[in-house]
Amino acid sequence: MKRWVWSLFILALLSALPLVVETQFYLHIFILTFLYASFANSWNLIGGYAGQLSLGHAAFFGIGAYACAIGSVKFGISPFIGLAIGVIIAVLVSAAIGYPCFRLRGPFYTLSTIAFAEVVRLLTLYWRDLTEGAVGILIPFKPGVANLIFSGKVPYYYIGLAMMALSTFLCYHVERSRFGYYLVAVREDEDAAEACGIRSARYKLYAAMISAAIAAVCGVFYVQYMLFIDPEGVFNLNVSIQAALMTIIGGAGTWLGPVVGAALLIPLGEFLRGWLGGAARGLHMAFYGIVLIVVVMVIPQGIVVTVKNLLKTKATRKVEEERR
Amino acid sequence: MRRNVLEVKDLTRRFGGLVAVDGVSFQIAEGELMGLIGPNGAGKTTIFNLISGHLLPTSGSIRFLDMDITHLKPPAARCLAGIGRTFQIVKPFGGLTVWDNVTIGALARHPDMGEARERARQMLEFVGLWGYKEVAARSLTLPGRKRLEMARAMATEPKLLLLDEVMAGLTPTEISEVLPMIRRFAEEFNVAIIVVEHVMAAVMRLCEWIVVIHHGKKISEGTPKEVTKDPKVIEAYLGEEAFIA
Repeated sequence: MKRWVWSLFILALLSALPLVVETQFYLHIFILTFLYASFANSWNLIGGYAGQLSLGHAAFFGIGAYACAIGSVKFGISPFIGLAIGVIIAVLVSAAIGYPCFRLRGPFYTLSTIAFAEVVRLLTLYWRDLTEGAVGILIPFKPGVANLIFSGKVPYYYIGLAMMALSTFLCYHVERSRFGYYLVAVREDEDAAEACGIRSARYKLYAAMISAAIAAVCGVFYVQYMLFIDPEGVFNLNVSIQAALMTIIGGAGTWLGPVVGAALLIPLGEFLRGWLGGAARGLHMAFYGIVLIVVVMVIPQGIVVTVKNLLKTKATRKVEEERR
Repeated sequence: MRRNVLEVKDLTRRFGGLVAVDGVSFQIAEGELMGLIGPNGAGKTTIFNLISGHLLPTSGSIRFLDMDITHLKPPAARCLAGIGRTFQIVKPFGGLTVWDNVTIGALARHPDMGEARERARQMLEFVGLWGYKEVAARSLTLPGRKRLEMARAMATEPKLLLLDEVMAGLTPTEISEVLPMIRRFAEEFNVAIIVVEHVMAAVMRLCEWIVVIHHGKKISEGTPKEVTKDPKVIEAYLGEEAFIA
């Protein structure tokens, strides 16, 4: 119950925020944080709970974004249909990658996701008729709900918030469900999971497909917000790494981890970029690297788990130690 | 007449040039306790892996409850059919609590989370681990982990349970606690249990029937008394010891 009260409280607080905050830059940071928290949530399903390290989530993100952008700009179809098409393609693609890889053990899934994201990036670069190549696609600014384009940042703020809340709720629910237990069992030990009647390849595949669907939705939000898309922006390895990084730093395999990770890293990255200016482009990535190293060394389970352990009273810890 | 749960016929498994299991046949009825013994490297765990589906046989057949499961894949399908197992090198879900570990086993039969947790609670009480329910599995001691594996396997409600060296590394006191537990499980749930074990005294006390494996072949079979008097068995064990010495 307490958890519910807190979640609703924070949600209410965030909902009220745009009434007070009018600085566009701050709203922008919040919107990005919501977007990346949702994206990290999608990564958490396959990378956190199921323990299958994907370093190609940019592919699903980008497929969603490009499907929507190409659909509306080249074929004049509604972004909502573009969203549906993007999600379907992303799910099919993730199934195609996962089906052979999840039968194997070892780094195959990780390698395949990296390779696939690269292939998609190169394809969009060279398939100029459809994607405009490196020039990118500019989406004409025609505000309206039907176009999923809004003037001002506030509508994006609320859509982003809803996206984050929903995907976080999904993770929360998964964590307590049979599906989530099975994913974690597969992560902890595949042989033992099989011996418990868990068809590990199948459950990994389900997780990968759901994850890809959410990532594609995030991609659509990205392109409708930025109104511009180019291969480097969405398919870059950095995008994939960010999703993994935020989740791991926040706490992989915990429902709150990705949100905490995003809330920490996105504002930090944006402010750093602002302060350092153009003189030190990419320095914020170096900073990310340092944060990751520190987290892995000091709190390998991520922020959420560490804080939880700290909050445990001394008494219960003592009991646990005595049992050992 | 008790119904046969498992019939293994001419089971053979090669690893390249090595024949790890060579034409082994045996059967076990419901509620029966069978011991599978033999010197190190005889192929006992390989037989378990073949029955549980973690390995597939080169030739031979395995029938389980009138079903041909020789090539049934993946191992999960065999668990759902009713074969539970533990691992010689224990494989707990280390990061999860003891209760969660057993709940995952119980979910195989009880998709509802509440029911599964209740079932898991019963199994933890059965093996005497209920007091440790919130402890992370990896922080249990070795005997604790072995019990946890048993509880988890039992929670899948098997008709056939494969126990791979659940008594290795236990003190005599701990063994005398585990023995009645295994026996009770066979009786109360009418489960056929095969134990692979190096602690001979325990096997002899526990099992009604014993199959002896040496170099992948079955060299003897019978009641504990018959087997211990079999010259081939004595030779297999003494021969090995002489070799070690």
